[in-house]
Amino acid sequence: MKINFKNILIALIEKEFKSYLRSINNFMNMIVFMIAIIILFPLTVGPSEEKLTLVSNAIVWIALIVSIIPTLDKIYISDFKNGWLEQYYYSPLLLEIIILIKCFVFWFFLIIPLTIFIPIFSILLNISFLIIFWNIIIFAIGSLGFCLIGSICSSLTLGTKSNNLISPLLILPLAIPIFIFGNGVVEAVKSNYDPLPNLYLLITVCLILLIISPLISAYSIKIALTK
Amino acid sequence: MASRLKDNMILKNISLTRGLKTIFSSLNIEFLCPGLNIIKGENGSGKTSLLMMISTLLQEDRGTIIRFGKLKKNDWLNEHVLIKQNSSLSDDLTIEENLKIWCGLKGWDFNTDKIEKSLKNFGILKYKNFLVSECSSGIKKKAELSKLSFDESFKLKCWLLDEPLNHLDENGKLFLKKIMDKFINMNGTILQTSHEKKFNHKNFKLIKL
Repeated sequence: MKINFKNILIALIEKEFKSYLRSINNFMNMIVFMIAIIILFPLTVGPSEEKLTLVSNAIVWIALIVSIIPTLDKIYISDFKNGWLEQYYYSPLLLEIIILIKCFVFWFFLIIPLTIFIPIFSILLNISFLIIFWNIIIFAIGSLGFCLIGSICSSLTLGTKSNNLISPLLILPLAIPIFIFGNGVVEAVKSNYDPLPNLYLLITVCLILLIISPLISAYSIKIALTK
Repeated sequence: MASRLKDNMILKNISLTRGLKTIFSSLNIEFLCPGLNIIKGENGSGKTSLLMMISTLLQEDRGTIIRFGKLKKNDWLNEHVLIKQNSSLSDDLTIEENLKIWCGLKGWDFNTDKIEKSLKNFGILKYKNFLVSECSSGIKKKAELSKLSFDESFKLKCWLLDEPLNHLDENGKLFLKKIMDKFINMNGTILQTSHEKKFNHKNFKLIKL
């Protein structure tokens, strides 16, 4: 029978896009959570401008990451519950490629729009424009890495009753290289050093994840489906 | 077509365990191919597990499953369809979107006319723009079964139907019988689990678990 791979791609992207559009609450939750952190953090640090300048960049990063992590473990759970993962398994397209597309769509529709808020929050925290520019670049690249890590953790915890508890514990250690190299770029810019070596390392980590994440995720999903 | 008639589906000495429970041990079945095979058994006897195992969703512990000669796993995935007892439609999408995307994922052509024709056959065209979460179990079941009335579905080798008559009204049952007969006439094989006492089909093989 003639199989049209273009149809598979269109169907997959359409499904993901419509699902995210209809569950806009998840996106709103992320933004509300982020705003809460950005507002509460300076209040706890106190009115000292020096202290705030020292930690402001970290605040933006923590706000972004903490608001993303709860959504990462939900990449597959609804598809698993309503049987769509089985349909992916039956699809003529490789499950690894389907996973990669799902991660990209998740990143593009849910995470990339968050980068719009980086300049807004950064201005509120008196962060310089140069740092804001680098933050946007690092976050755009690093968040793809987070999505790929989220894909691994989400697929590993499919079918477990306590996946809410396990996922953040799995995600955080794997995300450390992204934190280190991402922060390294900003520190280099602040100290007038070349930020590119750290940026390249960040890209390398993401590229490695781009290869291993679909493989591990597909394997875990197959185990979850066939157990 | 001639080679397809020679194809067969045989389970040889199959054992399957899920968790600590042994579901089958040394199960031998030769299915009627092409034709209708009705699998009966009490609750928990392993009817659904049997279909899932044939569909490769469960891995047998021991034994051999011959699926239409020496069909490779990937070819087999493209040559059969499994309709499970519970709806596998996404609650966030409408019935039309679900079917359209399902067709797309199979690599088949999808267009609105095709979906509408299929929904009309089952008498649920007016629900096409309803979100699945807003539909009753009967409508969901009909939407699920309307996947079988696409032209491409009749070109497959095998349909695995897990209790397809649940939640269906009389019209739904009649139309399902019609498409099942059409598929069998086109040399298709159907494996259907059921709790029904009477069957309207003329020729079928009854398999008791």
